[in-house]
Amino acid sequence: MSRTTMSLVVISLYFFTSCTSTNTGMLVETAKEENLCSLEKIVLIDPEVVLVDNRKQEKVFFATDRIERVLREESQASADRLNIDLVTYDKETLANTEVNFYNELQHLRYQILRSNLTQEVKSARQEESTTFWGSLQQPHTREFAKDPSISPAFGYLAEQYGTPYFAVQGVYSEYIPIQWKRRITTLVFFPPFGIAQFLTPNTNTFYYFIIADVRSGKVIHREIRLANNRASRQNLKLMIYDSFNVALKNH
Amino acid sequence: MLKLRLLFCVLLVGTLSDAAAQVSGYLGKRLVVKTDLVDYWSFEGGYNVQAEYLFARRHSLQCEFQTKEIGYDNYLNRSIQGIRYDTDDPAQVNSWEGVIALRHYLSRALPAPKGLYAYQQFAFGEADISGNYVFDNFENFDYKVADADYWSVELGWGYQTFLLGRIAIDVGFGFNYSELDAGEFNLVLEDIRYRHGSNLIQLEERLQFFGLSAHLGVGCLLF
Repeated sequence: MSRTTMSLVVISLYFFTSCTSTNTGMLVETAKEENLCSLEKIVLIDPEVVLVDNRKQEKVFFATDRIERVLREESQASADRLNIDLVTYDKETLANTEVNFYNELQHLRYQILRSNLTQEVKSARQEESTTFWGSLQQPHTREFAKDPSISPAFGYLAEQYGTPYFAVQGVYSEYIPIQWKRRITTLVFFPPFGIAQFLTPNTNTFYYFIIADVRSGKVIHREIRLANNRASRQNLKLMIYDSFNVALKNH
Repeated sequence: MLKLRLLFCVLLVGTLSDAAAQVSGYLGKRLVVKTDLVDYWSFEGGYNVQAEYLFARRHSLQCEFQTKEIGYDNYLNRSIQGIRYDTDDPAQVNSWEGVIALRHYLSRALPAPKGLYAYQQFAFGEADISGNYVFDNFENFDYKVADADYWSVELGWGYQTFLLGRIAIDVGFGFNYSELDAGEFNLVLEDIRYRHGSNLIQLEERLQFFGLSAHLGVGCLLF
């Protein structure tokens, strides 16, 4: 076999192995360019964690205190590393006197989440991401064709909290049943894919991070990612840092 | 010289990440320096230094330099030009290798350089070989080959993780195809050439140079 032939075979195999990516993914959507501005201070409202065991017929929900604490700590640490002034309002750590949280922030949080469920938002691919080098340097990023909107009634919060940017963040992690037949068949017929499957934990972890500008009443940044990994501190801190970094660079 | 220029160009391109790049690395750190423990176990001497730099969100470039010192037994089981059998002394091979590897991390959600990856690598180097054979008439034949060209390509998979946020652990295995070209001594060195490539198992002795190799890298996340 000549060197050229061998090189071609190896290169083909390399691109073939690229397909061994499991069903992990990440999608970032941002506001139109004219609505972007620098994220110096963000108010994070009540980060939420849900841990579910889907392996049995009846879903089992686990206690989330520890992971929620990890989420808070790692969000703060990542913000500090990236010089973002992050202020977190969390119902677990609030004093009883913080009535604004229940009167205002909880409603705003609900509005931001609801805006993503009820509004049809078509997004267009950003021109910058279509170049080869751009696609290597950036995650899959799209621009909202029409920015999702929230109630304009929250505009006054910008002055009260010293920033117009309010964010919601959360983690949903589920144990899923192992498909033994599929794994063994893949291992027998396509060993590299099979080994990759055996090394992948039977856990799906979704992470989301949404930022809204209360002054304009628009959602300006939205990100969701799915990893085939546990919601451990190690994994969460990497996802949070990356998430903040992407948001910062996009605005 | 051409190979060194190529290596320099690849390194230069790797460091030219644009300022707005969204490459987070491991909490902002993108350079890992490692050494391969399997090579120390496989070979009698030498050292191994690796540097991995993350130049894109899911791609990194690893440059490696290693030297090997190893003795190979010559089992020539047929008579070639009057050479009948080997001596008890193994052939001594001292070599150096430069390796360029491109890594493709498989997870889109967890930022590289942590996680499962596929890699493709190209190695080049030179080897000095010395040994002896015994002729049919029991006369010793000493030979010495200087700067025999060596190259290999390898394809594999691995997993890299970090302990305490600094210590890198990198395990992987791959399939490689290699060639050691000693010119006019190729026939004499037939039993040595195929074994020079991988550090684990060699497949299809004599005719092909396919092999399996493994690595266990331990190192440090620098910046």
